Amino acid sequence: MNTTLNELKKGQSAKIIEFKNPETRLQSARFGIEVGQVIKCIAKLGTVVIQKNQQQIAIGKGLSKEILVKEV
Amino acid sequence: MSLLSCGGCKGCSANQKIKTDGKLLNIALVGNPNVGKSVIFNALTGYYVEVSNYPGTTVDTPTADTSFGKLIDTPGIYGIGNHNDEEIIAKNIVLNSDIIVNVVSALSLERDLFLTLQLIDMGFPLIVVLNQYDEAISNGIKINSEILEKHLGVKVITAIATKNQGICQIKDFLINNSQITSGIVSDYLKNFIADENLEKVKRIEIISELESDFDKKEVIYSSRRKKINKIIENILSTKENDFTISGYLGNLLLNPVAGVITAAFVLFALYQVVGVMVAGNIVDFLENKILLKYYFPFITNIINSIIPSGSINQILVGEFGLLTMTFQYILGLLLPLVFSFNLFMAILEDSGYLPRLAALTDRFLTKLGLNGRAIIPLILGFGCITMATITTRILGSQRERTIATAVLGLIIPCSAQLGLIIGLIAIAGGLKAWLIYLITIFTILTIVGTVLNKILPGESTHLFIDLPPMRLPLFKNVINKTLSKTKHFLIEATPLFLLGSLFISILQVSGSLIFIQKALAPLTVNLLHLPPETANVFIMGLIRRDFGAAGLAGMAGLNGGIAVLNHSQIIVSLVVITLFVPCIASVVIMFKERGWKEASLIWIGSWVSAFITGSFLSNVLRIFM
Ligand SMILES: Nc1nc2c(ncn2[C@@H]2O[C@H](COP(=O)(O)OP(=O)(O)O)[C@@H](O)[C@H]2O)c(=O)[nH]1
Ligand SMILES: [Mg+2]
Repeated sequence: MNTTLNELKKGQSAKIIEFKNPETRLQSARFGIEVGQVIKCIAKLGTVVIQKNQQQIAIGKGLSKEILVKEV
Repeated sequence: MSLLSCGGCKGCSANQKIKTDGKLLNIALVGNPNVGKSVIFNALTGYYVEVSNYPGTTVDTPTADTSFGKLIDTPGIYGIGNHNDEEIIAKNIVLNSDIIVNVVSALSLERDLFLTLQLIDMGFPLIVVLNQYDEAISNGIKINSEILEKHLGVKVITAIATKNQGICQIKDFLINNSQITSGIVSDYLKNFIADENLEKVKRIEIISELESDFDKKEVIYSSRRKKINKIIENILSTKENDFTISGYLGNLLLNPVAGVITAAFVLFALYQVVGVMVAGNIVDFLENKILLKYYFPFITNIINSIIPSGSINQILVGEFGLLTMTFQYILGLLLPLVFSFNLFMAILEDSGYLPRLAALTDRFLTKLGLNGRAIIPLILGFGCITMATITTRILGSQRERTIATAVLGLIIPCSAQLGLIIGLIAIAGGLKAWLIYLITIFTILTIVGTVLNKILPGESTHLFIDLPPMRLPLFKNVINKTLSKTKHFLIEATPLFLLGSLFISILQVSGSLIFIQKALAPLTVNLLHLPPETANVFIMGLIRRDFGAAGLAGMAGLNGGIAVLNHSQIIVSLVVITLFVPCIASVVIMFKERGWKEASLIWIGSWVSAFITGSFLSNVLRIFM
């Protein structure tokens, strides 16, 4: 089932389905994060911290609401 | 793959190909943040480094002349573009470079190769330094650099900069630079660039153009990512993740409870080092044992023998003298404070702690119309508001810069003031006084942020940052950073201090100072229920906040004076002096950064909030204390 990134619980992994905000999509591409990849939520502080391989990225709540993911 | 460190570098200059009419080659170190550019820069250059602020910014761009060319360190970027100050600066440097040393981290190759491909697409002669290889190994990552070389078409040098491994190889390649090539331009660009042999400048122009068109940029970005994914598949192998201390610590700091405890501990350490040790002991030693004992009599004698009295004498060596008070403030007070503060910040920065603190505080700061990034200028503000106000440039939008500047100008006490505040609160009754003071200041912070967030137009940006791994800071790196920040602060602040002192000296010599003191008296007596002399303190606070706090210290009987303030009066005046206008140096910077309209509003706002809050608090305390 699809949800948004901010709905993930700590420790949950999910596949990125869509970036609703195109600016975020481009910035993510630079960070090495893109649609189709599996990420893991490693901290939830209102702000979400995700991990992909060795890389960790902190995403504010406002942005994380606009990122569609699918739990895996 | 050999990772042996070599003894001496070979160093022969027979094979130099790329040359520019007798001038030194421009060589730029380019890469993502925290990949080790500065460590490599230091290793390649030794000590003769010129660190300069890029004009109009706080971004450092160290350069050094070496035997193989003029080497320039650049700010960390994720791509060449116009997203922020750093990118614009890096782009300008890159455009003027003959050779690029692209540093990538073996730990985050997937991310880092984006910039690498972009640089290769632009046609720069390039070598890639695959750095932090030790960290990759301890995380179970193996990278085949030979295959990477084939994919990219450029030399790849594996390195562990902190252990000086790979540095010699980089040097050798830069000296025998005929082997440095431009790499294989990606297929996806063929649709956009017809002529393969386009000259460099043209090609960069076309690519910049393409990347400013949103749709084309999307196509290029996603093709670039596809290519990177393919490369990574071919060169990288991972074992099951081993446990690492860095990883454990990094995650622990993101835990709300552990994170808050650590933050409290870090702030306490900061307070102990900067507030108690430096602001107290070292400053005290410099001022009383050196400046007041030797320097003041010395300089006053000289000036008195040339100009025995009169206004000029007053301006030079009087109460607010340019050669006395200003000199004392800059060298005796500011230099040690700014140095120690920057040292502390450099350690926090190099360890990877600050971005985690940003993630931790993001939620609260969002309520104030800021995001986690603002924690950096806010913490810096506790060191020095002037320095912090300049740093608000790192924030993503104008409204965030306005809010942060206002919060800094109105609320955050600077380190010079903090030491005195702490001493005075101890007199005013310890814990209870602390609570009243902190609750009041925190409430005002929340109100100011929330209100500005409501009334300012536009939208704030959201946090979106990369968290580097936790690392043990490298001494040399930390010292270099601290020295360059301190130097630039002094260069920026000294003229303002001289102007400020000149201004108040003129007020004093012309007799206006007394006049203003009298005019202010009703405000202090009627509104704040404080003795009339307190007006002096506020006048002093107009010039420098800690100046005001120092005046208060005298009135509270801190340094041997006769106490004329009772406990609640001390708390009220502390709150007022905290909320009161920032020092002249920061006001000038505020005007420069935010324009006269906003800056004057903040300045007037600080009068209003200081006196309204003070008056409110004083009435409340009269009832309860
Ligand atoms: N373990 C390890 N740490 C490194 C290496 N190179 C740099 N570092 C550390 O990585 C951090 C960032 O380095 P720095 O040179 O400031 O990165 P810059 O932002 O690219 O200039 C510092 O804490 C360095 O000590 C390396 O090869 N191995
Ligand atoms: Mg650096």
